[in-house]
Amino acid sequence: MLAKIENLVKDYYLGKTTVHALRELSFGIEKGEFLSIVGPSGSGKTTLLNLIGCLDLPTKGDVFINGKNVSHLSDNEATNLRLKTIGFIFQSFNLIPVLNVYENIEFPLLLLGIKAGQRKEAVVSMAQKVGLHEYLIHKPDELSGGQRQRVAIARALVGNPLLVLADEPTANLDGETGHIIIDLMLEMNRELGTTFVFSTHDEMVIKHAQRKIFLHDGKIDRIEE
Amino acid sequence: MFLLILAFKNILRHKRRTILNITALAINVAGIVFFTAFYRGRIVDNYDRTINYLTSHIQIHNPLYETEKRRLPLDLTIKDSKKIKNDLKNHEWIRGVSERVEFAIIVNNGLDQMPCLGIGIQPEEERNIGILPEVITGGDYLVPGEEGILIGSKMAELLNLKVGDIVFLYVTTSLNQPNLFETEVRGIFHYGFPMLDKYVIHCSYDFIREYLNMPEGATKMMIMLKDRRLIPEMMNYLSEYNLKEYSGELQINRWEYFAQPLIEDVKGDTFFMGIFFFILVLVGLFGIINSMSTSVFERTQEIGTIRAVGTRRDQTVRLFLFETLAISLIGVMIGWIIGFAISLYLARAGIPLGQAFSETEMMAVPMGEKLYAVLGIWEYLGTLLLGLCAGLIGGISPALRASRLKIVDALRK
Repeated sequence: MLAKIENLVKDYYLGKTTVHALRELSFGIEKGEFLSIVGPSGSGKTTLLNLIGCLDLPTKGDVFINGKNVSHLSDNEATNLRLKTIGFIFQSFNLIPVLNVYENIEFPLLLLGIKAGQRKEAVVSMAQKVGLHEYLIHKPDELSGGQRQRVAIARALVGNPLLVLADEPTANLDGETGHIIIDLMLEMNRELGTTFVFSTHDEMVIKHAQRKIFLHDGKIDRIEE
Repeated sequence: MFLLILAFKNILRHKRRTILNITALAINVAGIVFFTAFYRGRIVDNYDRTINYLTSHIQIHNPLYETEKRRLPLDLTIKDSKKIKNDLKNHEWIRGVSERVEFAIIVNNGLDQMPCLGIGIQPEEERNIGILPEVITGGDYLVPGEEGILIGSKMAELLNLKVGDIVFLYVTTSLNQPNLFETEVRGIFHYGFPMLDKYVIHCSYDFIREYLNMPEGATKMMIMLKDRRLIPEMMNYLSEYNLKEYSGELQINRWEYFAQPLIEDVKGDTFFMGIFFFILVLVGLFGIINSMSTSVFERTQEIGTIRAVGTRRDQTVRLFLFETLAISLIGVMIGWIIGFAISLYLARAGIPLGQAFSETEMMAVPMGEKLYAVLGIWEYLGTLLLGLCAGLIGGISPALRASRLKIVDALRK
């Protein structure tokens, strides 16, 4: 098992009101799985992905990645874990606007301290895999939404992470492009063996997932294989 | 290295804002560089003119002379002035040594008269002391032992005197007896400094001593060195000489002792220049803080992204500091170029003060008709340091704020 979530609770405080974003969630994520977190807005999908991705700390409960409890890491430890183990894909692509496609994909490798030759090889190879090898010198604002999300996928995968977390990766794309992006993620999942966990509330996208965890009001409503 | 590259790309993101920041800093730095060079030029000019016109580098007196100097005492002389001059004149650091007698005198043209300061000088030795031979605008310079006086241009104008005219001189001898005699106006000088051009006459040291019935020795000795920087070493040498030969009985003073108002004036001006520079730096600093704070606000989501992808907090701080430091460095360098160009021009062409300004009687310090900037290195090093400090101080708070952003909150923006 790649990741294990045990009794995960996350509360937010809005003035005197406590918002229970996640309530005692427990499930596991297998290596190489293509898992979808499904639920309406406010069901806790993003919160769950943030906690699995060590972007936030849980109120209670634990997240284990590769057998290691990552729920209470220091900021530097969590950053290091994210860099080496987790790739992120965001709903609004979140590319660095001043960097071109090549540089955006290269960014995690620079943080990892990979040598220039290896970096170039990895970036070009990943750009080819996502079909962007002809756009390497283009800036994000010169690309379509689908192309930008491909760059984000390439950036998430270029460091060979064990786990890629995608928060509503198709929400800002039209239906057809959304399908293409999900297909690309699926292809990467099969080709590279990388585990994908993505959140969505798009019925058309859900059907691609091997397993679906349905959330409602911060609780697991059901799990479908 | 990649953080540096990213920082450079970021500063080009909002070109207009970056240009405004760099321009503000460059103007500040250019201002500091130029004003420092100009101010140094003013000090150097004031000091040089004071030394050349009035004080020379070092003076020797009878130890009681200073307390009595208001009455220009002729009885308080340096008895061994001739021997001292001979002892010192060949010293390697000394350009010239001269004996002088200063006395009160009234110059009368037969109709009008003016009280003024008489200075008996040794014409040949004086060539190495001041610039009197160079400022003679009419007639001849003095000849040792010969009669005749040199008067200033303003006095010549007020008393309607010209070269060759006879004047009556009224002095009080060292024995406190009045003495009236006549002599010729041998030459007219023009320093461009009213205090000298209006109120001073020069005559031969040997000639005037007879009319003043002077005891042995000069009332003061002027020492001009080959370089002003040799003053401390020369003072040490003269102190030892004084102790050895005269049991420390000579009073030896540096030129600053006789130019206290100027020194105080420079101190005051330096203080205000410091405040002025501080305000300039502060303006640049606030510009950077404002710009970087806006940048952090605008790039919140991007900061969240790079943190999520694996950028550490310290790397985020460095990224923003690189940006502010790069802006500061570019601003400083452009400021250097502008400041240097202006300073260089003013070092060659000078700033005209106008005759009316330089010759006004309000001026306590001799000034020329033009003021020249003097280039130095400290303003460049200083502005580099200030620029780096402005970059660091201006960038550190926004950089820390960026690094402390909660990633999930930043991503939501």
